[in-house]
Amino acid sequence: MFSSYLKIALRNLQKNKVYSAINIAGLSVGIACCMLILLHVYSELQFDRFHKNAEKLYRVNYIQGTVQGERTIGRNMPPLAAALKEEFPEVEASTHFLQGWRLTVKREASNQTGLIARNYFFSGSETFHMFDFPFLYGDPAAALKEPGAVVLTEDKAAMLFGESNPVGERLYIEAEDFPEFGMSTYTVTGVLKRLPANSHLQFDFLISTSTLERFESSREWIRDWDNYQASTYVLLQDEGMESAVESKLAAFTKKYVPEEEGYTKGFVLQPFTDVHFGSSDIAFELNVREGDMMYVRIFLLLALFVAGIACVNYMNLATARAMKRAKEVALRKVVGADRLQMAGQFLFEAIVQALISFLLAIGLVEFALPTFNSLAGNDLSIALIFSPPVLGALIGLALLVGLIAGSYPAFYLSGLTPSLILRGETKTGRGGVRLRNALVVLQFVVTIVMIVATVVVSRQLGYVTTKELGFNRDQLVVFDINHDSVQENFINVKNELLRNASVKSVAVSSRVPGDWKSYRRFGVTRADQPASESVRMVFNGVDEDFLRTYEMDLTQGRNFSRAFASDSNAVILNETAAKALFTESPIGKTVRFSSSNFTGIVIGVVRDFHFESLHDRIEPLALGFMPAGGRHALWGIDYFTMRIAGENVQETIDFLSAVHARFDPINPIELGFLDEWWMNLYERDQRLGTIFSVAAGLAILIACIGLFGLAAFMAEQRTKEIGVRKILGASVGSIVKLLSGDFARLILLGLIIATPLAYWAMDRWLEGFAYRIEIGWWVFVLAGGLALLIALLTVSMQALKAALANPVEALRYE
Amino acid sequence: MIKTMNLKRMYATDEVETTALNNVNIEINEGEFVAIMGPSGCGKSTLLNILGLLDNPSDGEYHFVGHEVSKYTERQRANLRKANIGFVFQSFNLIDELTVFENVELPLFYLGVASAEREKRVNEVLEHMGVMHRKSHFPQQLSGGQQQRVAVSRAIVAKPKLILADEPTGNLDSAHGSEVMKLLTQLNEAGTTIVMVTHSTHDSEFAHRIIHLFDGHVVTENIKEQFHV
Repeated sequence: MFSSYLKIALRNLQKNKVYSAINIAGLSVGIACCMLILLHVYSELQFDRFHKNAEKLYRVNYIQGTVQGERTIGRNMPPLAAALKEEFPEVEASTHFLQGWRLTVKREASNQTGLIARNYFFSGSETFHMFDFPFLYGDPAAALKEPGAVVLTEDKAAMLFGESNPVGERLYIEAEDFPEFGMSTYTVTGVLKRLPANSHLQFDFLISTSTLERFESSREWIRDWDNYQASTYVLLQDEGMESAVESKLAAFTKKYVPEEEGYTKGFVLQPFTDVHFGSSDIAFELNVREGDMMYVRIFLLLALFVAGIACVNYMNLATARAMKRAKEVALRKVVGADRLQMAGQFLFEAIVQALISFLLAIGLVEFALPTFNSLAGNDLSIALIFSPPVLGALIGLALLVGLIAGSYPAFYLSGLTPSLILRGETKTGRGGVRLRNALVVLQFVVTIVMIVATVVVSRQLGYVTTKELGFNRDQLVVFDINHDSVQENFINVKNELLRNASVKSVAVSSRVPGDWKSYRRFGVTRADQPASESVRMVFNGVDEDFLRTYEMDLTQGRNFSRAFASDSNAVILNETAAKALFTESPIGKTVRFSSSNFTGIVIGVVRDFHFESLHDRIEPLALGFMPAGGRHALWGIDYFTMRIAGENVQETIDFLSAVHARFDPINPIELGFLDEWWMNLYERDQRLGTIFSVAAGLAILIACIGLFGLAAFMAEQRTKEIGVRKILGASVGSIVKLLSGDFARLILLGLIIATPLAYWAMDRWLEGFAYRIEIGWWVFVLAGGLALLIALLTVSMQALKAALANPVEALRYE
Repeated sequence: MIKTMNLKRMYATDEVETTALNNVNIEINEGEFVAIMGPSGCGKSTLLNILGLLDNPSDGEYHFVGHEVSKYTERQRANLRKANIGFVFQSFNLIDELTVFENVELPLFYLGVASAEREKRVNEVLEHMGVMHRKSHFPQQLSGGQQQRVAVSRAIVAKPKLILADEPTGNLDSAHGSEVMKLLTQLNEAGTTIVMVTHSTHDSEFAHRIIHLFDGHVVTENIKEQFHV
């Protein structure tokens, strides 16, 4: 039976090449999209699950309470890991990832430059017992035991040692902030394979925590219960022991953590596999690429849409072709086929086409994967498709698409009554037409929603890139300070930089507006206020040229000046901060910064400017004056900002690099344009915009593939009608209008349904921005117009062909 | 073999109800060759569809090989039909996507006959009908006469008791038409019951008995002298 069905299915494919091609093209694109999306979602949902013990692993988070409430913090004390293991029999193993200071790693002591390392951790000896990061070289059990042991990742090992096995090689490590550290010896004990992208733990290398026992100052540091630089993880003996441990954590905290006035302290276990998606409320945590369930949902919805549209196309074409197949159905029934057998045959045909499309889709996926990876920020490989569970699921998907796509044609065609067809009454029922129209409307609803989403996202991104930020972001070049001598000598560095006429002005600051690094925040009060009424304020230490370089305006008071010795504790507030603290003019008033001894005098108010992305409201901000030496009591400097001339930009940059190299011979310059940094704040939004535009493109493409086929059949079915109309004097134009008009009506209906849907969805997205555009009515007109235009172009080609045909030909068939 | 009692068939559209058959009472015995004649629209094809179990009557009874089938479901009719009835149409109605062999094989396929047995029986029939050399061709590659031979092959391959022929010579020239009539006569002589709708007086000469239909009624029945039970 199957061989017969297969034969007929293949023969039908061959015989109707155009329609087969349309069907298979549509299904392939649909299945390929689905595959990509499902692979992505699969890898997201598998995040951090590649560790054998993932279900028994927990991150220990620190809970800090103040009068303002509790917050969960992803970092805590270096001695916590060992103490947990000692106190709790349920804890099988524990470790931490302890953040250190900036290092320069070299292969030879004499090397002038080396690898600048920020992204590394000190970690305990049980790390590789708990986590299954695969090793390229070395023994996982012993890798982090001895002091001075270093485990490199593949890429960093290759940068330092080439392709050879570096285990046992000596490393030279310099630490500016900690000279003794550089005197010690270090040995490579292992090389890890490149860390999977779906791991929240990402680092360039690990150094054994026991290394820190070598030096007196760090010995204290790693025993300090007031040091918050470690991320702590535990492996429990068994799943479900979580609550047993948590019930004893309060007593544990009391025993180990020193009390502090005004604070409550505690710990909580977070399942390791929840870290990726469940950490949005956790501060200062190690999570390089935080997951977002919203994206997973959007992606799944897209997969559903695209597959749905592809199935709809198939159904539409198949039912439109019902007339052609009707005679076959009738005859098979006359000679004995029953309805079930006929339905089986049509389903089988759909599944054959879906499977052919599936094979083509694998090719498409391979082709599109690199683009998709950069879009989705993932590192999926085509090999994933061929792993048995995934392959099984994808074949299942193809079969499902075939079943769904084939279900309606099978149901419809198998129900045709042979006696009617053989009498020549082969009119497809009104029901078939109505369903087909409904499906076309549905396709255009999806398409129009996608177009609206694309337009809204790109307009909002346009808005955030051009919105007045309160300073001029053009032609600002920023570089990072990586060496003490640059910080200490910042006034000399500024003078050197200003020798070039293209450098118009230079400023230093702790942070720059649009910075990806976090700001320091302090509770700030007036002199007459208790600490409990403090206003949380962002602090930035700047020099007297900061406002001028950024072209910011003062609304009250004056700028910092080296001429006044008293300016060492001067403070400039932004308007929001001034309003939050004072009802009268703040000039000359005293402000106190809690958790430090710093007291400032307000000398000016700066007009509000954005220093974070437009997702966030402008926060209260205090600028402090940077003394010579670059170390403000609250925060030292970390950046130079130069406003440069628009001409000879490359030469100016070369000049900046040369000056930098004179003061910092070790580290290469880390330089960027501030307007580009600002755009990086919207990477997520840009990615969403790209996803929508690609999805809109695909939706249009697949819908048009379907429309093209449908229009061809409509024209074919109405050949006789067109012939008669032409004989009676209809013009070509009126016939094109007749055939296209039906589709135009459907698209307008689609627009009416899509408008509220799209408005609701995009309004919700825009709510994520503190500063946003409004969605104008014209967006919907544009989206509808675009859909209409594209659809009519597709349809009118067929309509024109039908209208231009010789009417005599059309009638001769009768 | 066939007995109808007060058979009625109505077609209803939104506004009009048309009666295609009205109180038709006929009886056809096994081994008969009956022609049904009448002007266009008199209900010939409707009657043939009901006799062939492609359609149910609106009212009345229809007894076929001892079963009262007027209330049968589509599935029951299909089962009875595929074992007992072969069809020959004016426009041949071969499936264009299938070869001659596959077209003829189809009834056996749906009867669940094993593949080797199907091949043997199809080959026998094609041989007998003289279209063996065309077995791998598609219908559109054949002449009208050849197509009708294939259609007759398909009708008889499952050895049905009854063959229903709807103007079997209507699309053929006279030479090929006579050939088909000869074939039907031979089949009848071998024991198959034949009911044939026709416009042609020439063709009706081959039948033992002629039923005249007019506006859905049976008007006369001519029993030929040469008919011996």
